Amino acid sequence: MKKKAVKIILLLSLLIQLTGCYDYKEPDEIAYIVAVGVDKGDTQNAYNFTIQFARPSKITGGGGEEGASGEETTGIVNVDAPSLYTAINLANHVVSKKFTLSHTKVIVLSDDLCKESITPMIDSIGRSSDIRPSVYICVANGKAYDYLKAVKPSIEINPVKYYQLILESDYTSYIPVNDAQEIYFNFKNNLKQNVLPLVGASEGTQKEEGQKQGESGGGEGASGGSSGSGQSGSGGDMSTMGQDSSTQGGGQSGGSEASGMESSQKEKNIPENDEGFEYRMKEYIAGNLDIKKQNAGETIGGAVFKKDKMIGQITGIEAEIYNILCGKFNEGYAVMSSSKVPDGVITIRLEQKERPRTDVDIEDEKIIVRTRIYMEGDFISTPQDSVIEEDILSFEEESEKYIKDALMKFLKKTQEEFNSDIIGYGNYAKRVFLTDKSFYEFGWNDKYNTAEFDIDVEFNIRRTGLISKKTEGK
Amino acid sequence: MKLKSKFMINKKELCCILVNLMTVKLFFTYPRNIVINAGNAAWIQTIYVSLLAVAAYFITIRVYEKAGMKSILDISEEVGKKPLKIIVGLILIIIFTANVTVTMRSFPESVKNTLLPLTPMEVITTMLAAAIAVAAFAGIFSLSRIHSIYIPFAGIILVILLIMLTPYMNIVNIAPLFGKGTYNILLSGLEGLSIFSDILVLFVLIPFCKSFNEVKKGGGYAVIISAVVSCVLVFFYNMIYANPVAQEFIFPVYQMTRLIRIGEFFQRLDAFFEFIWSIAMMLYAGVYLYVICYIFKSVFNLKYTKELIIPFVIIISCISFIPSSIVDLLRSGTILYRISIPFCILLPVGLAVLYRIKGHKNV
Repeated sequence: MKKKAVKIILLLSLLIQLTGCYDYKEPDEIAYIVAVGVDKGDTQNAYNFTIQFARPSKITGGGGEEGASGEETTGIVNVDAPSLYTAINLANHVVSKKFTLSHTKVIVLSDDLCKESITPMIDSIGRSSDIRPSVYICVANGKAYDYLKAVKPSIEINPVKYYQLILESDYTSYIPVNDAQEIYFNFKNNLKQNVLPLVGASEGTQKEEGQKQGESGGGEGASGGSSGSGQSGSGGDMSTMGQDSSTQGGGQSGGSEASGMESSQKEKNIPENDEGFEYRMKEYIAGNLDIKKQNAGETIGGAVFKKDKMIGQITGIEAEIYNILCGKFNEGYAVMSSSKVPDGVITIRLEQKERPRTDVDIEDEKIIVRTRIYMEGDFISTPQDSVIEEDILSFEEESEKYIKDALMKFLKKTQEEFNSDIIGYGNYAKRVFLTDKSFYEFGWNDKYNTAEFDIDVEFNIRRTGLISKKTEGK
Repeated sequence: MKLKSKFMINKKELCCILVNLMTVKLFFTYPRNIVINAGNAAWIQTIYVSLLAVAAYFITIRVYEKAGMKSILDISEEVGKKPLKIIVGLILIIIFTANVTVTMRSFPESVKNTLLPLTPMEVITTMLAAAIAVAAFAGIFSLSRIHSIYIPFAGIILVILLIMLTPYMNIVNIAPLFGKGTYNILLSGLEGLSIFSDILVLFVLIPFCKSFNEVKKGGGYAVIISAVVSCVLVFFYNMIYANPVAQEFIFPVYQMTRLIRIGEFFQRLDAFFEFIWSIAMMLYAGVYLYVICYIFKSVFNLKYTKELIIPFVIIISCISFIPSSIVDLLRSGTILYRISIPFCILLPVGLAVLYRIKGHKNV
């Protein structure tokens, strides 16, 4: 009898397990932060955080008629706080659901902030178990708030998916490929300086949106007014905090936005690349695209860092070259020039089949970096009056030269303009030394700008598409 | 003294128990500590200490062979009568309690850090304590069978996770080859032997085993498997995280599993690791709790072991709360391991030598 009673008590005690644990979270009590924007705050050591969160109830049906449009699927809270988590803490007082960073896809830091130091943000990223290592960290060409406000995906309903497709697809080669884990790693290691994707809001749309908000008295929150992003508020206190859905203050129609873009396009004078690689491509940078589109958010180019400070920017083409040098270029369409058709352009589908093979030799303080790059390409289009196929070897040789020239020019820029080893050759230089002490005594980062580069490019055309032209009579 | 029981621990079960005891610490701070000492050469240090550990094991077991199926407590009694048995027993209890106490605190800390941030530490520790008490109640034979089923399964999961980590490895991360220098690898690196200190449990469990041959082989396999696992894990850690960032992560293996991402759907596999790790940890603590109670019973000639389980689990849980923070815990854990290494290596071999000398004199 006694044993039975004990068994019953033990069995009943198992019922306690059914109540769940302390840390249970009902999905409908959680607000998933999709993106976080960080701008400089009004006061010292204060930041202005923009929290873009998903509105799951609007993300239904996977698109089409059932789902809401991209702009309605996110909301924005803008808050001044000394750190990310205190910002979330404050924001939790505005939005009824509890914010979580577990599904955050992107953290956008303003360029003003990056020029000072990103150390406090990077530390949070490395320390927090909420923030996944696969989060992307971007730099806004302007204000982070403006970018997040401008992002209104027109064909993607799920905002997380939008950022994911933009920042980690194999075919967006004009941005540097790095995730938070790698950025933290580079930051601490100090042997490969970071290059973060550059994002921005197209200027025309900002102006238009600003005008609209000006007319309507701005958004719901104190920070909702156009590109002021709340920093024009009283600063630092709760009064600057406002909740704002993307539909408020940002209402736009595709047609009017496109016309706004057209008007701004005239003002832009974006230089064209006259080198053989990516011939006649415009040297775009985020926030400065002259592309007609509904979504004002732009992601192209990169922000170059030295230790914890941003020291410059690279264009989309340079970001592509950076990816090639780092071995992270997967595939993309590139434009080549050819001496045989000086006025025409040849479009190829470029692919990096192998990672670069790099060796660093150090002899008597003289540094020689040897890199072998292997690329493959397929013809996508050639000028109508040309027959490149007949002398494909000379085209390959010419292309190799163009690619090599582009790589050399970029590497010189990293030395002369940035003086920052952004490709990470320091990691290869380590192999020359036997101990950490001898390597650190050598002082790689101080000597990087004296390094000589020996680049060997091999480029092969593999396919010519569905046609292969021949000269008549041959 | 050999126990009279129809259930005895066989070679495979013994091996699985010892592998779990030695490798579970690898999932806490061990790889980090090695990197702090040797830098990018942590993997060389691990190979070095592993070779030493394997050599030390085979020397010890060769010397111990004469004692046959007698436990370390039995031979200490034969060598130095009751007083030596009590001294050796208390030393073993202190070492094992220190070992299990550090783990009893580290594990809930890791769970709180990564899985249950809102749950109070007291609740997590109580749940863990209850689980290990139940495990210890089940007895060493049940534990050995569970180990023999579970450890191969955990090993397969670990191998799969490591395969998924290979894309994140980068050969340049292990340069410069000798990291912080040969002095750190060869001399300071000896503290890396701490993961093998749990082999001491083998010399307590001998009477529960079928034969000395099974003990010898089971222990040998366990040391070799643990050596391979430690070398592989530290090598992966070195290849994925170079110094100095590798010195920062408190839970290196968990940190590595967080990286795994295969396409869009296979993400957050750290949950698998947490699951495997949690069960391994409970089995680890369960074995230690049982062994501590068994030593206490043997030393003080008590009749039962099970009655000691609750008092000991309460004592261990309370001691585990002494470090005020995880920083304090890491520091005290390192000190305790350093202190315990000489005992773990020298105690069995020393007593076996004394036993041989005494046996020789008697003849």
